[in-house]
Amino acid sequence: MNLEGLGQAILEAAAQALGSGAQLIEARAKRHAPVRSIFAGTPTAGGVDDIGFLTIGEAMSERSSMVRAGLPPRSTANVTTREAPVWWQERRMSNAQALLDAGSYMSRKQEKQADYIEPTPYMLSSRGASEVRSRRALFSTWGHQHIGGRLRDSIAAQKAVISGSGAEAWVLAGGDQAPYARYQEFGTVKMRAHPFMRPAAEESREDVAALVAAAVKRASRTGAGRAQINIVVRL
Amino acid sequence: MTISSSAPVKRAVVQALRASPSLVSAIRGGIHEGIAPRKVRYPFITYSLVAAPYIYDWTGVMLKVLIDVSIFAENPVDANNIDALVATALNDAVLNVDGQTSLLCRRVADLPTGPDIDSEGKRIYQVGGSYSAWTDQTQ
Repeated sequence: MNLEGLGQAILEAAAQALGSGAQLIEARAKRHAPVRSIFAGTPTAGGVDDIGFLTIGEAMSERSSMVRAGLPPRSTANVTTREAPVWWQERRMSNAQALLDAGSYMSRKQEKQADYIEPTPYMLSSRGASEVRSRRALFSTWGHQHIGGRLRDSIAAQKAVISGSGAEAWVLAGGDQAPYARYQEFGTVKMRAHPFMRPAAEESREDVAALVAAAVKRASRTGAGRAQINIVVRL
Repeated sequence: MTISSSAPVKRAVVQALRASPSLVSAIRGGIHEGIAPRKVRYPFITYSLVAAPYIYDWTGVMLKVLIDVSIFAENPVDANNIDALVATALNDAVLNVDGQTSLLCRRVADLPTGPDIDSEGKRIYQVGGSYSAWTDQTQ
């Protein structure tokens, strides 16, 4: 009996499940990833990390805020090219500049004086104004324009790869897009840590093991057909 | 079944660090959660909770607490020496956790961090490790 086929079927199934597990970790890491609030508003009970993320598209969902912020028409926001064209980036910057020119962002003094500020999708906070002015908060992926969330967007699960008798799948964060990822994860002398990858991995450890176990169980039944069985009878 | 949080585990970890006389004499800036105040003297220690998932089985529940302990010092030798003292104090230590039974505390990883510049322009070395503490929720 040659079990190579069966073993290969089980390994492929396990690798596929591992890839699904990596996607699970990616989703959880994105939920944990800190996103700096750039719009004015008082944090809700969910914590600072849970609020303040708005894409341009979300901001555009309200026409009044779109007009106030000087954002482009809805149709041009849904560019489907991988890299947004230069003219669009320039236009986006000019629109972001409009947020500053309008003088609609709150000064730090105003923020401190206000007990509660209703979260608004068009009014920048003082920090947000600084982030937009320095262009740090602006980036685009797959043609979608974002203000804030660069680190969250950099988290990506890679396809599982079989190497020898094992398989591995990586979940990556940071890279060139957000080189400060490790400072967020581990903290620095000036900043407390906001871990997002390791909590996701710890939360998902048992789920990934269960995914792989279920895949192996299924493959051992269906993959048995790929095992070569030679029966030789000698008298 | 009553379950408790990760707070007693953090407290027990700090207790274990403070129970080491050589470590206490080596750190002049004290032990801080998350981040140290600006004017604290070097070297000092910070600790922060990374994750604390509950692990349920048929008979009970365990809490697995992952804590980062970082040492900030003005030179790498001090940082590494203090890191070794922290590892000695915490690795395989029996933690005194209120309301829970300490099962295991182990160093599970080094923190991949490097030198940094602090708010006064001084070059600061950050060294540390991740420690995993397992506790049973029954005492």
